[in-house]
Amino acid sequence: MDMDDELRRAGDALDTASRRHRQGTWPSGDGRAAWMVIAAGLLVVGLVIGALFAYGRGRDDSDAVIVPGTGSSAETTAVITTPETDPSTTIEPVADTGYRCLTSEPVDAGGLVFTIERFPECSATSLVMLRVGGTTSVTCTGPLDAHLSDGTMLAYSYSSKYWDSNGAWTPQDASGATTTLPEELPFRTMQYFVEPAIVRPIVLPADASGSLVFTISIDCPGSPPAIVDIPFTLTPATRTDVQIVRVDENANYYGACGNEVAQFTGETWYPLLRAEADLIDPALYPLPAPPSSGVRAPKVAPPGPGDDVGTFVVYSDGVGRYESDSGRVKWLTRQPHQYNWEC
Amino acid sequence: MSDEPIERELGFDEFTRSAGERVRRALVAFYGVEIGTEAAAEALSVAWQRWAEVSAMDNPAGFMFRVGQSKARPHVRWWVRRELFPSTEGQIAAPDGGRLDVLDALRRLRPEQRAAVVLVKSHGHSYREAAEILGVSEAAVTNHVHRGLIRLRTIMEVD
Repeated sequence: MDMDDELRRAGDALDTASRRHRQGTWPSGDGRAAWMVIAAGLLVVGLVIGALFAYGRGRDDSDAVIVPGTGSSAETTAVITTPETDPSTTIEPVADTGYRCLTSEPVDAGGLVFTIERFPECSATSLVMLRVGGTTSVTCTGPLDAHLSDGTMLAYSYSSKYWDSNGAWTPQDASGATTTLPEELPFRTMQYFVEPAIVRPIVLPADASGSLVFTISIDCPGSPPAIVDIPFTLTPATRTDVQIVRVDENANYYGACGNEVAQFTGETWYPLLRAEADLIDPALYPLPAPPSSGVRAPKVAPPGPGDDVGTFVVYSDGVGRYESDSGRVKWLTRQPHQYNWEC
Repeated sequence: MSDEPIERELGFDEFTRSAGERVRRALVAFYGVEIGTEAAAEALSVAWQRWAEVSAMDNPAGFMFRVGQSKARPHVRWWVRRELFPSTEGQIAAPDGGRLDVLDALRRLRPEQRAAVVLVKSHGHSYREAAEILGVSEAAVTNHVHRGLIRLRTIMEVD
């Protein structure tokens, strides 16, 4: 058999092994033991992150301003429990968007409690991801309990998806029905999507041990509450006196995941959250003059993942604007931020 | 309700089927079956989260590969004393159940060479597609494949 045939067979074998891994038949033996060690490590990391988020929540609460929307902004809580049958089981939030998710201590059943604190992007599909490790079967139960803080029941919709064994998206049940994941989940990333119909907070009552409960409290449909941090509640869209304070034309920064801090002008700069950046009106922020030729020649030719050189401008209101030479713009601030996702 | 989320999902599903598959294969070639597969899944998660931005990128597959590498690194530390590729304890067999000596030989290549060889020669992707994912030029992929094949032959002849 020649080398090309052998390599093609190896490719098929790797594809098959990868699919089996997604189905949970890998690893076995020593490999499983290794993954259990990794799962335990992830649990520890999750707890540490949870503690950091809890600390961050306290800070955020003091800095945040809730712009009134319709109805109340109820506390939003998600409680996740899993069977205690498998000590290697871990559940941790991998990442989330649209919410401030915080993990706290493990619950008795071996899962983690995390709280969805905010609901700043109600107009877009939001996402909470959970990474489930171990070999425990996980069942999502409902119906979800959607009500205002005064107990008024609300209409809502809910759906979730998860990656099936072939890496495709499989829709889960919707609208408050019981959702059961069809098979054991040895090590899998699940993603739960909260559709835009859910426009306000939520509460999810804890269910019995042995189930994964994902409850979200929502408010009535209508204009959602907007939550912004202090510096960006100063009606930035009406400011007209913003001046350029400093320009660095050879700044190095690459914000791939939106949570990478930068070191400019001897200080640490934090990228704005998307909800915050949306409040920035770029038209109010003057750009530095182009080079004397009048043509801004790119310093780095190919745009793309490796482009991390650009111009950083500090404005008089404390906002920083970084534009890579390929044209990607990031807004930053010196105000410390907590980011509840990993990169 | 806007139709935007549905359209967004359709675009993402298509991306998952095309670029996502290539990225998974590249990460498996880099980090082995277990870590590569998980890293690819997590990179897809990030791509979904940031889909509006990722879908507008010139090279979203390259971005995903970089994210996948970031996701894989913490796991790699745990496995540093173990063989990452193919990392299934010798249980990967050919489709017909036979032994695949070439996997042992591939394991001894540098990850960049191995990924280039696997993407191009094992999975039949073009040099351009491999270059996009790995974030290198087509010429670099050509070099990796050329030198990788030479080394593979040497290893297999010696063994």
